[in-house]
Amino acid sequence: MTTTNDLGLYVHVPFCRGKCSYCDFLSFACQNDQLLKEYARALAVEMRTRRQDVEGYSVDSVFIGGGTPSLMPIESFQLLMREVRDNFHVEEGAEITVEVNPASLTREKLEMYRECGINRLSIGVQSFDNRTLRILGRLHDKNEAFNMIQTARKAGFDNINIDLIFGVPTQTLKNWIDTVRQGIFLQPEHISLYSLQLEKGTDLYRRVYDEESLNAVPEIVDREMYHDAVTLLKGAGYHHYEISNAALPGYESRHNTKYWSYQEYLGLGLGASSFFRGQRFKNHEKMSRYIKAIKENKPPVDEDSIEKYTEREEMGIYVFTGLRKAEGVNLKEFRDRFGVDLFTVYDPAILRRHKGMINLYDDQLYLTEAGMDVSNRIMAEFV
Amino acid sequence: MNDYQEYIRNFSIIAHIDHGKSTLADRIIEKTGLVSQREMREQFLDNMDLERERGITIKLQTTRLLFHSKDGNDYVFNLIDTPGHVDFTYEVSRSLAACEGAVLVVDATQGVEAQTLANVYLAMDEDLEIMPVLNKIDLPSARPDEVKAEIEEVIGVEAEDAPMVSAKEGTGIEELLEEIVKKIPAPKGDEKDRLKALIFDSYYDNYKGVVIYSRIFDGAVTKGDMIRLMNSGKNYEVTEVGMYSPGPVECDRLRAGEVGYICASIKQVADARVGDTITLASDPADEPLPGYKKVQSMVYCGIYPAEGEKYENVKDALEKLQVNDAAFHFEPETSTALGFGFRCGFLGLLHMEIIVERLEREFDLAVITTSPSVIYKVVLTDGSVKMVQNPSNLPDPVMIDHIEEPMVKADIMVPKDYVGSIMEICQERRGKLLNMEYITENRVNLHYDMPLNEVIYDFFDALKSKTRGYGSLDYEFSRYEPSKVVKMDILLNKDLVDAFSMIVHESKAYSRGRFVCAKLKEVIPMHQFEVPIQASIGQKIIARETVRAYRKDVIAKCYGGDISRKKKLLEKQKEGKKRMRQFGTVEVPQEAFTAVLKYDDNK
Repeated sequence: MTTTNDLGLYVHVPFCRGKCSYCDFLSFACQNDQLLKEYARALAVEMRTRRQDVEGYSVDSVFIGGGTPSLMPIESFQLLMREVRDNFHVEEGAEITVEVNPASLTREKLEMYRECGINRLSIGVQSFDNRTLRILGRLHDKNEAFNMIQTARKAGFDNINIDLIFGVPTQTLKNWIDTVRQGIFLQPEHISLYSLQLEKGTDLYRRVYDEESLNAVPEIVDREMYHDAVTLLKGAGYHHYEISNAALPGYESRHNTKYWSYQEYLGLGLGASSFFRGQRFKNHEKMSRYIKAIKENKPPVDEDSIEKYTEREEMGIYVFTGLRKAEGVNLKEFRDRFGVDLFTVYDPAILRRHKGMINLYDDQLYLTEAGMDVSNRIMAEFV
Repeated sequence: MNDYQEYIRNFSIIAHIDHGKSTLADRIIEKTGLVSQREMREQFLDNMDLERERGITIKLQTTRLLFHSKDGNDYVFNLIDTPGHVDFTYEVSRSLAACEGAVLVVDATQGVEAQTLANVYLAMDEDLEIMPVLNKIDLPSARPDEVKAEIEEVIGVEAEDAPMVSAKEGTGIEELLEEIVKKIPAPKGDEKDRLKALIFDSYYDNYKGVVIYSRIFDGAVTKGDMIRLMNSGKNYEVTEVGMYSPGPVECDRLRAGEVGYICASIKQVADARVGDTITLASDPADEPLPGYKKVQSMVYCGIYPAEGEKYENVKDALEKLQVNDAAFHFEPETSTALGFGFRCGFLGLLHMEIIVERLEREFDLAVITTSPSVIYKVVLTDGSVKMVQNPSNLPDPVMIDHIEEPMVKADIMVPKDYVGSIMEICQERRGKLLNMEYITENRVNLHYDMPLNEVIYDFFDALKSKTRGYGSLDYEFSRYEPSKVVKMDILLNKDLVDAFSMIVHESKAYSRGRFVCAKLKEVIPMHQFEVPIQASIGQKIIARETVRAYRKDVIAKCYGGDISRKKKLLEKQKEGKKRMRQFGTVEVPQEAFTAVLKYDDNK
């Protein structure tokens, strides 16, 4: 009997109908299906180039993210899923998620997803407040979001995530809490709470910092939004298992957890990141380069992105990613993996320096809720 | 006079900073064919990078040149370069004492400046023949006639026939060299007499020990001679004598009138101090040459290894610098805030900056320097006197009868339009105007009586800023004077940080306190809690600022598993933190120490 390693698969679809005002992810506005179809064919080729490499691995999670994967035409999506199953060993019971957007989702597509074996939906709701949605540049309104979740339920999806964003200019604490309440009312299995980051180069950044036509939400209000939402979610039975994520028990996202638990994942598609066979690397971010590699039947990896970190650096990654999880890092697991005690590598004074922010209890090193507010500073101690 | 002396000319070039001294020296060296154009680095004599960068000469360089004159004879020129800053006045005076004449370079566009005057006075004190030269004659803004009149009026030397050169373009250099032969007297002195030689500079060589630059006034010195340094009283055996042209060339002996180097297995520069007289131990001269003094440090500061830097590395570097710099000294000290470090003494603020920069650049060290301080004379109630240069060592106020602070006589030369602003900045710094003279219709020399402690902070920066660089400053110590100075402390989150303590005049304490607090507020990053910054005198808080707490420092999203991106971001954050120093609960960036000293136009 041969042992197999678990692998997460991420498939990136870098297209949207329009660019949202806050988005700095790798995505392009795309109005015609032709491009999407070609891209799906390129992804199929990429999967084939990886066939040999994943020998000995079995896939226990697939995440199709973007961008807006729900833009992909039905036939192309079916092709994609066929290729996934043909080229990778997808386990029975694997978590298979697709990111969808209320504006591009139809009943027909939802049914197709079911047929393809998609068992988890991640819906980019962002807000149940129309003004906030407009500021964010979202193409849907609150009713569409509401309806879509209902429709997904009817289509048989019993594992749904909704993304919500707070700290949006003009958003008040009250209308954010209203959004959270409505979210909870819909009883999704999973809720992601993202604190908006104004990134340079985005439309929203320009409006806040250059034009000054919008005011940024003060940090202190942003934190109030966060903690109030977490309190509400916990009260409703959700498990706040990662800085930005909460789920009903048993519905924690297997795929995202891989990122924070030092597990392997292979990224497919434009600019997708991987942690595979001890290496961290990214695919080309330029479409022309990506396509060129595909035409040559080669994995479209950007050679410059390949990082071979030292053992010490890997320890840092292990700790700072682990600290994103509410449970934090287990000292014994650290020792088992690296053969040294965490606190022989890192100064125990870190605990004193960040008193009340990071705790050690029962072999678990974890951030407190207050510590999550300033997690970067604490994580920086470990890099 | 001996025959050989007739063909020797010993001279210095004196000038204000930027008036082109080094460039002119380069041209002279080039014209006398000592160094080929190809070998010629720009400004040959300034051989430290730092000096090149700042355009100033710190360490002296002496060169022997051969000049074939139109009169058919070959002359030996000993060009004795002088350091170009007010901090090094004593060294300048000793270099000048080794010469018979001085070439005074005046920028034909700028005219006479305070420092030009200061150096001219030094040269006059040594009875040198002063030979003015107008430089930068190629510039359209040159006004040679006016400047000549200025030289005659202000300095009182004949300037009508002053050579006009452009050191940059290389014009007029030949004529200048002929003038040197004609105007500057040949050296005198008897080579049969008992040896009297002046040390005007020295440096440390790893193989030879201390190399002394010397001018022989009487007698001669040969390898194997047992020499005595008359002021230190120590004897040494000469291992080598020679001349620089421009590298060291060994010779049989050095005779009266000549300039060269002497090695005698001396271990450190401080043992062969500038100004000391060399004589023969077997047949010593009756009296040393006049003018020797042991230079005193005027400015002190603490130098500490920055976070992550090793104490031993800093110590080694300071030792290396000290071997070569008799005016710099240091001793270990401890600060509660900064840990183990050194208290260092300097001639002045520039000297201090140079040492610190050399530590950083030549030795690649990260150091923190504390506020510079002068030496206070503290008279205790029991009548005893304590000299204090570290604010932390100031005795308890109840034990102090009174404190005296060093005063300087400052000469500030500015175009007349700036007199108002100069008076303002001098008044702010407790300066008393002694008198004011119009050098020319447009230029004014202001004589001030000022506390040195005001001069060392930011006076020079303020002067440059208020006069758009046209003002120049020269100062010298005059006396100690009773003064109402107090120790001002800085508290971060209620904890006293001794490294920020400073001694200030009572009348300045409030404004200084406000300034320091405001500056620290700018540079101290937000913490997880509010950080009060307070200035206090004893128990009394005189100024306060608050750094507000940050609330959020978190990346919400996960960049789709791009851990490398996140790692880089955290590394950057950590890098920023590395430059921080932890004081109690508060993190302070290294630049905070310099920030509180910087002149601020808007304050």
